[in-house]
Amino acid sequence: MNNIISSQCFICKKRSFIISIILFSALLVMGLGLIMSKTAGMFFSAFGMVAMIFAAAVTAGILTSGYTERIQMYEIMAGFRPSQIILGKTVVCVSLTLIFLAGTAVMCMIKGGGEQMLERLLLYWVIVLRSVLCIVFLSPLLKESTAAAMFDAMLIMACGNDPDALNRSPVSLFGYPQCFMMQYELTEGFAVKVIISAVIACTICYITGYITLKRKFDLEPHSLG
Amino acid sequence: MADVIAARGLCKSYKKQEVLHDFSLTVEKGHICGLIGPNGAGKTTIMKILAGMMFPTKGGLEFFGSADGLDDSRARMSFMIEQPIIAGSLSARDNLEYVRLLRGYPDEKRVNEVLDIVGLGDTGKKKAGRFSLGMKQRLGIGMALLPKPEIMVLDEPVNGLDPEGIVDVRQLILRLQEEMGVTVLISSHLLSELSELCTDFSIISHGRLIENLGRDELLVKCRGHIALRTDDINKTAAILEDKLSVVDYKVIHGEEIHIFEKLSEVRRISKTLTDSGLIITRLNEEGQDLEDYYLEKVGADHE
Repeated sequence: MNNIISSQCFICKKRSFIISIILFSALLVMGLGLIMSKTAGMFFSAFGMVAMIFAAAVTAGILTSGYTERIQMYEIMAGFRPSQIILGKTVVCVSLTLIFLAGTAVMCMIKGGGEQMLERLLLYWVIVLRSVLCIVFLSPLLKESTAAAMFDAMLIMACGNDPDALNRSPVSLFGYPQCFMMQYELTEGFAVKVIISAVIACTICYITGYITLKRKFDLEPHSLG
Repeated sequence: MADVIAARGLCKSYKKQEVLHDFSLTVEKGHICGLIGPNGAGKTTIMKILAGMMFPTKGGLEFFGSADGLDDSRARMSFMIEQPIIAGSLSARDNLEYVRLLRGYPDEKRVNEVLDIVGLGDTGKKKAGRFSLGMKQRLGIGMALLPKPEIMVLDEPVNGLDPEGIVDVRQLILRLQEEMGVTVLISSHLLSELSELCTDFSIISHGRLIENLGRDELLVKCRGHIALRTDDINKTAAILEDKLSVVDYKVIHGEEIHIFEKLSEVRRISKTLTDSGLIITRLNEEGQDLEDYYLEKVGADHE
């Protein structure tokens, strides 16, 4: 697994400029939120969600480039096991995400406590990590379309701005809608829903990615000759 | 010597189409085996199964004499399948560095060494995506070569190379085999290249193995001879032995004789046979190269 981590770090190093720009953009959005949002709920739901899209795009970008250029084939041909491949990439992508999460923590400290700030921050971390992990775990299945795992952001539009409708809808089980719902008052039920749905989503995505690699489902993105 | 690659009874189907049928292959340690077959014969499928990129529908694999831990065995092997897999946005050096890190090869100098071996030492920061086909091919070979594998599986490695490049790759493979005992399974459309390189040949057509044969067998089968047909094969054989002292000959299917000696004495053979009252219906000086032999075998399979 160390070799997977080293090689992924090397790829990240080679793309460090674009990764830095996107991560900086994510933190910039949070910075703007710090200035512009009046409440902690608004800070996380509006600005936090946009920043989360940027943070997840870093992971999607790194993984997609490997599939576009087909170099991920070397991982299989070198005899790495599915769990080693998935977990190696997880370590690298989560490490990059932690830079962003650390930034959000600093901004929350600047904004100050109250309004369930700490609870909101922790739930926000859970949602961001869930988003990143699902992208990593689903990448063997989605390949060049890895960024498609971020499209649950679109689901918010399905329920509009009505918090009750959103809360009762299955859409509320997805990450981005949950982030959107943080603008409303936090309840214990919501926190439990966020944590449990994150665990279940990550488990399902991991199993999907693992089986894709284990059973060698359509590993070759190009048509077979 | 021990077999380091053994594929037994491999079958592979895509939906209802069978692309590989009961294919078996063994490659001994230190040998160079040429996989020969027309487009769509199943060569790349076999190599992908060996590389772990797909499962066979039926059949089994053994590497280094064991069917267990195939993934661990693959860590001792290198593959170059179809077009070389390279990151177009990275330089040749970065591509090699990526493979070095992935394979956990400790010596950083190995990257420069491989760049020199494949003749890409002067490409600098030029992105691999802008390389010519030949340069990409060289880089792909370099990436396979970098971890010093015990087995290399190369699918069309000289595709797109200029004549000089083809000779370089041939010499490189021979050097790897001779100096480091690397076992190579190679496919190529350039049969003349394979005939100079390989110690064993596997001919495949329509997903079926047509023939496995060693270099010596091939030389015997392809060696020059006089093909002779007369109205009485038994009498011809007797005359050849008694009057012409021919010992090295073979009767083919009871109707043709192949004489492997006295190739320069066609006139004398002809005169002796006609003087003995035999009617010669065919008398040809023949000899095959790998290409002729392959076409004959694959042609027979088509029929």
